[in-house]
Amino acid sequence: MRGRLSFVESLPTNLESDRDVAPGQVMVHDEFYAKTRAVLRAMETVIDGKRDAVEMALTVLLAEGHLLIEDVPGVGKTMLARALARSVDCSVSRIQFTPDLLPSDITGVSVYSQADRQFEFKPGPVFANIVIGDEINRASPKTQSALLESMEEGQVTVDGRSYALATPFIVVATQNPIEMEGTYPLPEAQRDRFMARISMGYPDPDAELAMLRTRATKSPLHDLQPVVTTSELADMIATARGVYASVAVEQYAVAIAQATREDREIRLGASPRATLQLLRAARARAALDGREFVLPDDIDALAIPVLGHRLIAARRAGSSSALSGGSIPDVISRIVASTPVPLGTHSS
Amino acid sequence: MSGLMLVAILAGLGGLGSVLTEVAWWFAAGGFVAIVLLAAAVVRGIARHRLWGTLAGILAGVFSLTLFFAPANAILGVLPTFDTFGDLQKLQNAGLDSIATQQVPADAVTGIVYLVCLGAVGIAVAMDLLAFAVRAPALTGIPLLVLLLVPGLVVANLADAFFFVLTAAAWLAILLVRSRPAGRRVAVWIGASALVAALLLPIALPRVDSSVADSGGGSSLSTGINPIITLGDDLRRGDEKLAISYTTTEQGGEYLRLAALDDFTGSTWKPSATTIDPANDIGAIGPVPGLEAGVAALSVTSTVSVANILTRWLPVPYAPRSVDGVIGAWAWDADALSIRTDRSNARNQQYEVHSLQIAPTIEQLVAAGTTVAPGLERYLVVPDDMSPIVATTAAQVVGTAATNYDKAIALQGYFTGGLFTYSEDAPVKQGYDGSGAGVLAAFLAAKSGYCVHFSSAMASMARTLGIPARVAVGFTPGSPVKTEGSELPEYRVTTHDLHAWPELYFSGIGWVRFEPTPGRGIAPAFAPLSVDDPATPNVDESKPVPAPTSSSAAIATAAPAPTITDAPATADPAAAPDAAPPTPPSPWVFIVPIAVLLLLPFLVRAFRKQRRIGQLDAGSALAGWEELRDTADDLGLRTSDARTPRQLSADLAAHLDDDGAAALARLRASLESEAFAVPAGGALPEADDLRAVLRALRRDAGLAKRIAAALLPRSLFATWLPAASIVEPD
Repeated sequence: MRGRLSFVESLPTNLESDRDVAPGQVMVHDEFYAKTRAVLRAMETVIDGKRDAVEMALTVLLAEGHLLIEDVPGVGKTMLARALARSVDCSVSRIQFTPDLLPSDITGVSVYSQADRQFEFKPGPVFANIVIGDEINRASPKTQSALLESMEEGQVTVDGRSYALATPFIVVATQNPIEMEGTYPLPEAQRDRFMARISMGYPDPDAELAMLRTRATKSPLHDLQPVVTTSELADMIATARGVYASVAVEQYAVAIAQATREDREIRLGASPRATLQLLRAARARAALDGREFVLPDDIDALAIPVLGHRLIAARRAGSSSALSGGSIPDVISRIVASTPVPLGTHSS
Repeated sequence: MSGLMLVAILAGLGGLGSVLTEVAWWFAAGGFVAIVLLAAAVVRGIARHRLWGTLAGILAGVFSLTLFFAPANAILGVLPTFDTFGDLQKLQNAGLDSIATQQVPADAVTGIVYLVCLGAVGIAVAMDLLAFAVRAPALTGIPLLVLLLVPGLVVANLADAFFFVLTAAAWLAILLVRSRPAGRRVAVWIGASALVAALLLPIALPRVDSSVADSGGGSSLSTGINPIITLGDDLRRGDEKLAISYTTTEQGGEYLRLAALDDFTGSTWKPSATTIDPANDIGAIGPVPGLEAGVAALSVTSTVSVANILTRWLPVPYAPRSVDGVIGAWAWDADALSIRTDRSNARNQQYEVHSLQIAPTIEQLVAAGTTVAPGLERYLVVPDDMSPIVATTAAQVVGTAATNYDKAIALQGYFTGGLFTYSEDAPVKQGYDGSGAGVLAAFLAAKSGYCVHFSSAMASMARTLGIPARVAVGFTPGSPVKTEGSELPEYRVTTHDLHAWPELYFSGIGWVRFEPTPGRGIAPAFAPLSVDDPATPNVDESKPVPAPTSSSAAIATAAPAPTITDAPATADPAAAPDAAPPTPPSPWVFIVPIAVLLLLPFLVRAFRKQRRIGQLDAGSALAGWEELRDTADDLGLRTSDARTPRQLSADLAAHLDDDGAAALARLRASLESEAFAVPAGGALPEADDLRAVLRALRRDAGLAKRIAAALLPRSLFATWLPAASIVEPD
């Protein structure tokens, strides 16, 4: 009954021992694994040669975080967001952020109903399981805030009434790193709400060639069928949340966060929320990797995506650093490479 | 743990073997230590608070010491009363006196055994307290260090290196057993540093008996040990220091005597009186032994000012009648008329001495004949193991001389007649330095030595001839300095004026000084060197006195010449004390500690590896992983504690064959499940896997790196490398 994690070839046999499933782990591993592979496969039919980005997107989805995809136009940010949303059978809405977009265009409005003679709430596009915010930095700060508040609170308040959002609720936003006319960079506080920021990067020649062929006739997105239902996604999220993180791993995450706060090249270090989300993402990554426990390697792999967009480099204090990581990834790499990995098993 | 401490103390006590004779004391002290540690361990097993164990150890130590050393006044033989402490105090004083008067190695008399046992009990209690009550096992090295330093300070050689290493090993074992894992590295390094310090300290520090005067500018002369032992060293020492200045009514200055060595039953001459009778107030000193009316005795008053030297014997002219102005508790000895203290010392003291200058006529000395007054038999004793050559030579030298006086003159002439040369270094180089029975034969054969040899040889020979004799230690008169406005010349005595001379007993006259050392001192008027006594069979007729070298011509004059002390020393290069370099220490003194130091990293590393493999066998994958990481570090592979197990595995994979890689994967998996997975089991790590990986790594590294890794393991010094800022998960 208990699943064997035989899909990871590199894992030695003794990890396959039967263990009691941690509380909250509602999905057995075979099923979890099958579902995640199905999602990955489905997404890869759309996104060619971007396995890392795809896995990171799925990791954030399983960690129930919000994802910020940042890259130059035309590399497939929106495609990734849509592929992710499409592979899960759930409600999806897409908001194209523009400078004239109003908060009510996101949250919804109360309109007066002639028939009922009272105000009626018309939910906006934010009432969906997956919300794709395209070019989020094109909207005014006021509008950005409307979305970002809902991201944190899980609810929308219109005219003094609160409306709960759907669960799971995941925002996948894209933004252009190049400063363009009419962009409003996200303030630090709001960037902090995204669990991870990833960038797509240009495809390698082979992948680009393959893309040319597959896209010649039609968009592959049309063929993409949902492979996971909403309830299955909720189960998968619960499974990921149940992954065990040892004290040593927690100490490691905290040590890295602390190091960012003390580093001289960083003006603004990682917030406690960042540490929290780092560990949550690490759980999801471990689950995705077929493990029942988090490894320091998960923290290492996630440090740049999870922490990178939250930190502000000291030397770039004068410039607007919202759109570019600058040397931040280098700094994080250095911190990760110099923070000792606790191997102690005793918790005190 | 207590067992390890016992081993450590026993090994440390073994180091005392170089300063004490026999071994019974070792078993006694070991027994007390065992009792203390056992009592502490048993009570700690029962009692709730760990201090009870130490308390039990203290009580066990007190009871057992009482039972063994002073049961008479104790209740049931173990419960000490006030009288018991009095008894122990006496024992302690006796031990201190014994230490003060004996040379190294000392006979382990009861007093010394008591002191050793008391010290051992104290050290055991201190170690128990530190290891268990304070929970700082690393600090147990401090009492051990004290124990190890004692022999190291008395005799600066590493004859006890074996015990030293044994003690150190036991102590390292204590560290490894008791330390918490997080503190171990620190503990081991504290330990290693302490060991190095203990090795270097005895080399760097002056020895107790060498009376080196560096600290505070003072000299110490015979602070405790038999004064004759250090005499050679003091003479040979290059720097001449003012020891005493005095004025005296006696023309030509006076011999200032420190002590008389009358006991020649053991291996060397030593003072027989070990206790001081405080009733012997130096304001009025008892009768001069043997002196009868009719013998001329001049009353002499001397004002003595001792310079910055330490000694427990008061330098006074023989025979002192009273001493005024000296500070501290001093007492005279009835036989030797030497003046001693066991609390104070003579440093910087000024005092006035009234003494008698005994000046018998030759007729009186001859008249003394060969009679030996009853009660003086002990002055005739020579050790059984003394070479018969001494006696036969003595008989040969005196020939047909009829009286003790004639015999004494013959002996003195034998030594000063030119046959013997004065040398402070020859005895050291040829290995017969000292005053003991064993060196006499060598001295008589080599015919070269200094005052210690001449005086002890003459005294020993006199004893074999039936003349009561002893060796006096003190100073020659020194050289006069002209002082303006004072009618009496001031004499300045330096450390190079230290001297030993024989005193012979003549019936009706008492103890009389002779001067057999060629080129040193002043011959007494009644025993002039120039007397070509017809009774003397002129052993060396070719070189009759006056002495052969022009330099010692001055000696030949019977009249006291104030400056003669220095004359031969400056004129005769062979006998120049200043030219004598200090004896170079044995090369082993340096080689052994250096070898230990060089091997120390290897030993510590090997200890650590064994310990980790033991922990690995006990199920700790972490220990195995640390060992792997350190081995890789030792072999020069770049490792860091910031690498996750998987990253390190990937790093090392390039250096491993397939089997090694598979073993490494298993090892890593057990570590990950131990360190990061739900704490509910998982596969136990295999020591064989670790060994396989280590083997593969070493194979890959090559011989040179393997040797470097063994002798100088990088991992040991990782704590000090700047990159390694270790955050211990504690």
